[in-house]
Amino acid sequence: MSFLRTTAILFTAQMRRILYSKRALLCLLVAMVPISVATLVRLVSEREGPPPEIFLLVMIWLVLVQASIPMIALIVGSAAVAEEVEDRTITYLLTRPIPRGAILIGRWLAGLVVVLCLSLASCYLTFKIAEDLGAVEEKYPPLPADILNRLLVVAALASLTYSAVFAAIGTFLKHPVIAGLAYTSVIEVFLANLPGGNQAMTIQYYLKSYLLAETPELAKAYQEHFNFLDLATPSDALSHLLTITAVALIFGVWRLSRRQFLLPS
Amino acid sequence: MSLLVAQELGRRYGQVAGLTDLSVTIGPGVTGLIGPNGAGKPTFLKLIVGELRPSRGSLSVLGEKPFANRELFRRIGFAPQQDAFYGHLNAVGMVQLLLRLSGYSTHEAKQRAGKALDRVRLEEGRERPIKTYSKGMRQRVKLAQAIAHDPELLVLDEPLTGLDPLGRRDVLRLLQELADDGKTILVSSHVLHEVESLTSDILLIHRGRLLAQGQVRDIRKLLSQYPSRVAITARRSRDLGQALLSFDEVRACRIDPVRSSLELETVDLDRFLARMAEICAAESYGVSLMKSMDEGLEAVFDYLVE
Repeated sequence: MSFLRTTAILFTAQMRRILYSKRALLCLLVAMVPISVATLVRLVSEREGPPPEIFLLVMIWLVLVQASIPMIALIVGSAAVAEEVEDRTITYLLTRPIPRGAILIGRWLAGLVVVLCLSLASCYLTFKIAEDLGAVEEKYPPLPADILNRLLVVAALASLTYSAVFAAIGTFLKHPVIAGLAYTSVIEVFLANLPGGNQAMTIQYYLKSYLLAETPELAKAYQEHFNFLDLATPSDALSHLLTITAVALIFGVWRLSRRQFLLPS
Repeated sequence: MSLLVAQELGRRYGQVAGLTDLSVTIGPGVTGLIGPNGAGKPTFLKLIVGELRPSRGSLSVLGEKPFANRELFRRIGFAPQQDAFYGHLNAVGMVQLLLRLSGYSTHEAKQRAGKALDRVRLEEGRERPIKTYSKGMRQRVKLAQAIAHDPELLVLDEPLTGLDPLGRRDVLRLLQELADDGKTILVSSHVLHEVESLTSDILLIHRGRLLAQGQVRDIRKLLSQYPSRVAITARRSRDLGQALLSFDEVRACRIDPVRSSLELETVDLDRFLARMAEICAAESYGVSLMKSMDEGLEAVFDYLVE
């Protein structure tokens, strides 16, 4: 069996499995958080709302990209291999004539589709709520048209990178969700918001760089209200994010091709 | 012809030895792997199907090293012991998926899945999700996925567990058919008589070591030196105990009238069971339960180890 064919078969099978799982429901709930909070803020601030840039930064940057997308990616991405181990069904796959690496890639791709769909939908709807806020509050200038595209790309990059990292963690650890939660809350959220060079150790730093370096409206709002800016160039940020994704997947495939699974009977 | 050769095969889990210096040769036909729980049977089988690597020694299966050996996996069918399934799929869906991963087209996989399920006699409920299946139905699905790609070597870990008597008969018949078709079958069990009804070639392991290998009758001879223990619950346990003591094959009997039970030792279990069948049929002592206290191989192995 070729790598590509195995990947395609496992991708299809995993898509079905995710759709039937409770994980999908949980992911949907997490994806709804930014939309729900944004709706609530929009309703409360009928007369005097925050500037749309700030609204976007809080809802899409802080809530969606820093919290919701990593959570969804963790729930789905870590399951790429760990779910097979937990359910003890990995035996069936490991005793088939297939490249072991394709198990990770096929199942990760299925998870990625789910994370992408949810994060992009959440991003789009949250943006529309912010846009609506801008339209009502006439004192604010309208949001530039290309901001939505930039936000969608950042949401997609976050989905790609986080899901790959968590899928790789799932090939190394027995309980990847715990490790993933610790990574997200300690390294990503904590380090990314500390001043200094430590930020460069986080995925958030590159996502932030990619978002803010070419959206001066958001960058200005960010600098005024949250933190000073120390950004990588967009091309550097993009190449770092893609490198992190590739390295994570290579390590995951390498680990899976050598790992022995001790499953309880 | 040796299809499986293990030489000083060992597998450790940290400080715990799962298998120690196992040297065996297995040829064509059906071989029973028996041993009590914790003997190391699943470890041996997982080494054979390439899920684990040996810590020491060597293992050759169909002439190849098994760990992550894709070419070998085309020739092996494995039914694991764990009760694990893609519960959201139905039986056809699961077997079909695994066949597609073995290289078959969608159409061919579906056809083969149907045939394999026919062969294991899973006729009803095929379209329901596996999570709704009984234990016996799930065992049949495991067997179906193991035989569906027509492997040369079948490795079956406790395939009779959870099956009702009819199911056991069906599976034993199927395994016999497969053996007649020229398949090599390695089947593990912790119940001696299950394996005995299938093959006379057995491999006994205990605490990760090979204890005996050979024909069942030879092993039986070893065991026949020891009496078998039987527990019986009967309404008239005292009267039954007195009656049983008159049997030549009954060596000792302990009666507990409060619990209406008795425990006895017999030197000829088969003869004793035949006579007990007549007593039960007559219904004169109100026998409600009878079980062999040596049914588990733990007791058998204790004898052998001694």
